[in-house]
Amino acid sequence: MIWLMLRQYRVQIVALLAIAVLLAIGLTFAADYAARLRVELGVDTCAPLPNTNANCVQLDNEWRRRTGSLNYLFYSLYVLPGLVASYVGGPLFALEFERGTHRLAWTQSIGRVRWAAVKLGVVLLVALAAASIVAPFGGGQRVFLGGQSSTRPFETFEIEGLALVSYFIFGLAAGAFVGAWSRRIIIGMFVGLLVFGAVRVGVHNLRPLYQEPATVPFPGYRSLPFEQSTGIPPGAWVLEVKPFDLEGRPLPQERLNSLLQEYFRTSGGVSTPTSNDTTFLREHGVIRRMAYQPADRFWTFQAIEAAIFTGLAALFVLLTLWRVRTRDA
Amino acid sequence: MDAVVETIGLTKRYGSVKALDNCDVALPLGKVTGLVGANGAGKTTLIHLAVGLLRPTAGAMRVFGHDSTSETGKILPRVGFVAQDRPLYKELTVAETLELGRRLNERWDAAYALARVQRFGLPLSRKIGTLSTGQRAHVATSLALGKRPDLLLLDEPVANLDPIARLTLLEELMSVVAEDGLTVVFSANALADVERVCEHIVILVNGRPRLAGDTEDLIESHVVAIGPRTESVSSADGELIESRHAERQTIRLLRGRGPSRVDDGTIVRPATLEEIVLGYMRPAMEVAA
Repeated sequence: MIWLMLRQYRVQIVALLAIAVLLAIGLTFAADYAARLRVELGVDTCAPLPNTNANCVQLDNEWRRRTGSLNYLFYSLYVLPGLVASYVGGPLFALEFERGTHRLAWTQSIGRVRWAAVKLGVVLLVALAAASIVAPFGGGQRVFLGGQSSTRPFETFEIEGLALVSYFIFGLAAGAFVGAWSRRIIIGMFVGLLVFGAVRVGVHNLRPLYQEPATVPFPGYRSLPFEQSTGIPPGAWVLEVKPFDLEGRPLPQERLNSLLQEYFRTSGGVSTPTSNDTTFLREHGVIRRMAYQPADRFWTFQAIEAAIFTGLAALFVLLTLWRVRTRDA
Repeated sequence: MDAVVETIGLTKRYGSVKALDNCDVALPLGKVTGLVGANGAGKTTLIHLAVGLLRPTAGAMRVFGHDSTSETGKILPRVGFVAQDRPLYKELTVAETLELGRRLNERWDAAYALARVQRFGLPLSRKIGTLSTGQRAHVATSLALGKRPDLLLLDEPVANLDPIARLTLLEELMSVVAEDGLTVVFSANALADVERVCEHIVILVNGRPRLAGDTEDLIESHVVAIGPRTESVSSADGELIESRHAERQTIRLLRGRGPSRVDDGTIVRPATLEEIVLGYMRPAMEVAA
């Protein structure tokens, strides 16, 4: 049975693993090259001229010009799970239905449920292997984003680690599920991709809520960037400005918005150190704090994200098997 | 009669269409049975129900005494099945297709399956996709027979084959039946094939068996009477199955010994199987139309 799957999908299996290895090598090379060039050009060690940092900006531009295209390699990691969902997952069962070969497979002694389980199992394991090959290297994109690979791990949250692996697994299961239910390759490929994309976007919006964010007092809009002036620890994922009452209890976001609107309407945009939006809000019993997720929560968040997608994948696998078991052929 | 497949009130509905309608049928063990009927009469549905590809809407079906829905695990190892259009994996070679049979069946006679494909000169390293329809039919039946099944179920096994391939396949099947004594059930549109090999016939009309019986008995019990044109039906003549009117003649298919009076010029002769089958299929089709 496993033999049949390896034989049936050998082209896809070899292609998937080969792409993964090549991509892993490419990503490593790209990040390494960008980091070395940055040092060679001295982008981070350049001494600014008095009153201007034009030479440093020039160095940075030069570095970006010479490495920018390599950055696109990392964006492929956003696209690949969707492609696997569409091209591998969508036709997985739908192709058998369209060609009628399920009638051959389902009438062998092994039975249709075991056939479907092994089929899904083999393909999922291959996807797991391929994803695991590239997953450690997605974080290299931080070299391009921030200049140093250690800063802001959350910026590459979706293209590395457990999360990325779970996207592949989920995409494959979602595509297979839609294909098995619709029995049409085109629907499996297209709707499978839509389901994958919709869940990705949905969970993306949930992510800030995985853990209650930490907060620091809001310094006012003038003192950007936040990290230096507010005491937000380096590498944190800065979320948004949140309103609290004077006792530190959270308030609804609308309260802040309406107060700010009122302030700008009445003040006419004039603010002084003793009379500004912050003092106005305080008079109305509202203080603002910056919410963020500290960098050291990265792997906790990765685990939560991966658990969500793996759980959904398991659900789709079960629904697919149930469908295969009960459906008329 | 020992039945290998038995249905009780079997009904299968696709939406509002009834493919099988309260169908009671029993297919005999150890014989070659032909399932005959017009397109849409329910032949494929009946076969698919037997191998668990479909679930009945109502009623029950037993194969080897096992329920066809809940006990497919007991049925499938003993059944060789070839679906309509003989689905095979195009990208596999002939040898790999046999390997598939070995891997997916605990009961598998590799030497036997190999000998069969070699007998037809099928190159083992060729991909299924490059074979002719006739060659594919041989691979598909070899795959079904490699299980060494007790029951062979074939859905339109000779459709789309040229007359020679048709004959080769049928003769081959019959020799297997003779050697191993296995039960064969196949559906067919082409009556000549049925006539050539079937020992038992079931005629399905609108999802129900209209006639079932051993070929020899059916031929013995039916006559064709060709006489002057008349609308009258004499009950003494036997059960009238069908009558067709030509300009001056009436041709009747009768169950029984036929008209006793032949002085009006009526000619009575034994019916051919084709005449019997068509006679039973036709009136119902007209009613349906």
